[in-house]
Amino acid sequence: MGTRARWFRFGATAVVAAAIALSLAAGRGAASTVYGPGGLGEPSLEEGARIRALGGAGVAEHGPIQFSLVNPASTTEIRTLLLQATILPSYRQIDGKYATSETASETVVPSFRAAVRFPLGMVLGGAYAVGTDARFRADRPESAGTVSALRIEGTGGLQLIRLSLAKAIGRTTRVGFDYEIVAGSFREEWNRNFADTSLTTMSDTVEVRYDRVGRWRIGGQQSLGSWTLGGVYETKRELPMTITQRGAGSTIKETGRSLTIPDGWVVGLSGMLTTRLHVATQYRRANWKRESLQSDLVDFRPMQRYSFGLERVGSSQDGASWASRLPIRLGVSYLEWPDLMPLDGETTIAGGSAGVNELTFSLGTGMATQDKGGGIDFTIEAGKRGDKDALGVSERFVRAALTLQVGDDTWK
Amino acid sequence: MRPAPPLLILLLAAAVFAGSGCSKQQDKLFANRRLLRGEGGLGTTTSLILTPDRDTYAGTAKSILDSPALVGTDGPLEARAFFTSSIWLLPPSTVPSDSIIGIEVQIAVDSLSDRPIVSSIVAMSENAGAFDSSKVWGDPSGAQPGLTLAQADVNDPGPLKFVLPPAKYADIQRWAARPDSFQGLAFVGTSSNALILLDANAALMRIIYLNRATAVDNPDTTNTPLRRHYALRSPLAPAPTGSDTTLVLGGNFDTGLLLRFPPLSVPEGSTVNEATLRLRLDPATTPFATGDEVEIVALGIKSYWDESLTQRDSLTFDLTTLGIRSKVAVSAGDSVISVALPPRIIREWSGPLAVNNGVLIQIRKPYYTPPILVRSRESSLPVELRVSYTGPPPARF
Repeated sequence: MGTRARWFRFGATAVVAAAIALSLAAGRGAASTVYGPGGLGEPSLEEGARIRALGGAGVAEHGPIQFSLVNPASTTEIRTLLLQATILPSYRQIDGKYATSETASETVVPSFRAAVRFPLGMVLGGAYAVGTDARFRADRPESAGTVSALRIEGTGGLQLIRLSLAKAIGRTTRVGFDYEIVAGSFREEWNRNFADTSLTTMSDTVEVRYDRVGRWRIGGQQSLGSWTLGGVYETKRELPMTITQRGAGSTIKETGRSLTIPDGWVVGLSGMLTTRLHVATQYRRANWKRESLQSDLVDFRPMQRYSFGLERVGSSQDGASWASRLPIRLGVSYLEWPDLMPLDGETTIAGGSAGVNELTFSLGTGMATQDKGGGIDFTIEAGKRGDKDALGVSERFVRAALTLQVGDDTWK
Repeated sequence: MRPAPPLLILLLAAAVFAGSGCSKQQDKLFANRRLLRGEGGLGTTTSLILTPDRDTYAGTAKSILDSPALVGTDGPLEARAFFTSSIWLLPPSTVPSDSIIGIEVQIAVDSLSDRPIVSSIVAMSENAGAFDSSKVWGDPSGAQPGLTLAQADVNDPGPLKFVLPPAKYADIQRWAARPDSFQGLAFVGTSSNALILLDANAALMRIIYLNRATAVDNPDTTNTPLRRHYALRSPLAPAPTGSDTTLVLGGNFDTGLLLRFPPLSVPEGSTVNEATLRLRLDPATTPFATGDEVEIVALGIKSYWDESLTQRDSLTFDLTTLGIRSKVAVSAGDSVISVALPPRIIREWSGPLAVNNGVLIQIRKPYYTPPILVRSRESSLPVELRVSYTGPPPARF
């Protein structure tokens, strides 16, 4: 069997595998983090598997298929059409301060993206990305008053819809704009079953909705030789909020508060250390603060993510072994969640608060299609988040990102 | 053909992780540790027991328009039934009067009722008053029995048969010509302590005549269903005093319980999980016969009442039934009958603008079973309303 036929079979099979995996993933996830019941939820990294393997350092990445969801300017080298989707199965072990550990697993779809090149070098894109994931599910026997069993299911979070426009200016400068609509909502369903059957099962909901308005994100890249400097600035936007607590025959609606999506910025550097060793670094910051959302239940601090990654680029020489053709990526990131949650045992932040810090190590690889217009990337991430002493629980996690990218030539 | 090693590795990895990522366990222990948001906890369920601040029982003077129709007496109760038709079916006009050989009115006894085992007479007469179901018992402008035309004994098998002489045919011809001029037939019981339940849907007038159009005289009949009917019942006796220790539910007087509970302040945002009425039975309640069951109905009362009320006809009620409890049987030793009310009623009875006139409990078609005796608020074990509500879940932010 020839090389072309083998690559074709790889592409076709990969598409089928990814489709199956995506369909398995859809709607199956239950919880994302043990910290889901409070604050904004888990800050999600919207990047595909390749950049995730580099610790999330993508702001200075560019190329025909090596774009970043963080920087709209990174798409300028797309040749025609590119579609990208990522799934993220994860496995968590949760450790409590006073009890034994437990495990949970789920699958989420952190992002998908489409970009198409138009005449005059303009690239138009659209993307969906999870900003924060506030899903959780908890079962709890409740003995306050009449004995009951509670099941609480939380869904939603901040979801981002981005419309992008990018263009290269000359050979070394790239600029892009995102119009980012902050969509989604927070919703919790509280189902309570009573041991006493004369009491009707209740289903209350808590819902937080905010106006779906947009903000601008402006990105740029400047290359010098094999090195590229990238940066993004995100504007601030205030979203009026409506909080609704709904029980049977009773609704409490609160308006007047707002959620302010803060301004932020990202800066990073990517380049080749040697002919096959690529390095990427990034610092990302969103200026969350107390005024972002007035609440007794959560405080905020700036969200910061430090990313660093190395990639051994796969060999493209004829006759190279398959192992040599595979890229190998290593990365590390350190994330400070914006949420400052009540300390363990406290019900409000008046008794003190603590943040969640997350350290993640990643290892990945991938393959490009024959036409170099698409590919599949795979990354394993492992890390730890939260302080058991301060928050009562901590989490260790292992997750796998699988990204499928197809260009229009991939199907030929 | 050998698959490429990288392809195998990637597909294997994809399959393993896509499968393993499906949720299989919730955060049973720890996710809810972070749920304690704010001082309100997770919503506490509170259960309370309320007792009435007003209760009594009341009868009704309204006509009984459906079946069965009551006739006869039972202690202080006396009942009469009235039947008529808007159209009377006569033999062909070619049939001469001397061909009428028999006229009878037949009414079946309700098949679900207990038939008296001794001779019990029901007398039929022409109604001497107005056939008007809106008139109550004792109203001189309402229906009145006239001179007895015929009698039937309930103890005889089959339907009650009231036989009229053929000469009555001339009157029937007049009724047919001018139906409005006829005020119907009245039925009263003449035997003491014999209450008969008539199947009001099985009443007819039969005219038997000889059909001389054929070579041989053949008897023929016309049957006129008596579809218009009602029954009147004497007022509830003895009348309730408003401070009785026992409340009477159902029975032949069709009494209903009127219960009013003090308003309950349910916190805003709470969900009411339960509103159960617990009727605590007086031990003197006669158990139902084996297999007998009743349907208890709860109606919201919309108008004010007090405990001096003896007839409930002046009250207005919710159009929709609050609650129904079917297949209620009372056995020896039973102490409580529960009726679930919709939780919304607790909100309707609470709050500054609430209208709280309580609830009427009655039995649908109560004539087949003995009345249920329920203890009042003047007793040591009054009716209870069990209410449970749960505070709202904590806010997200």
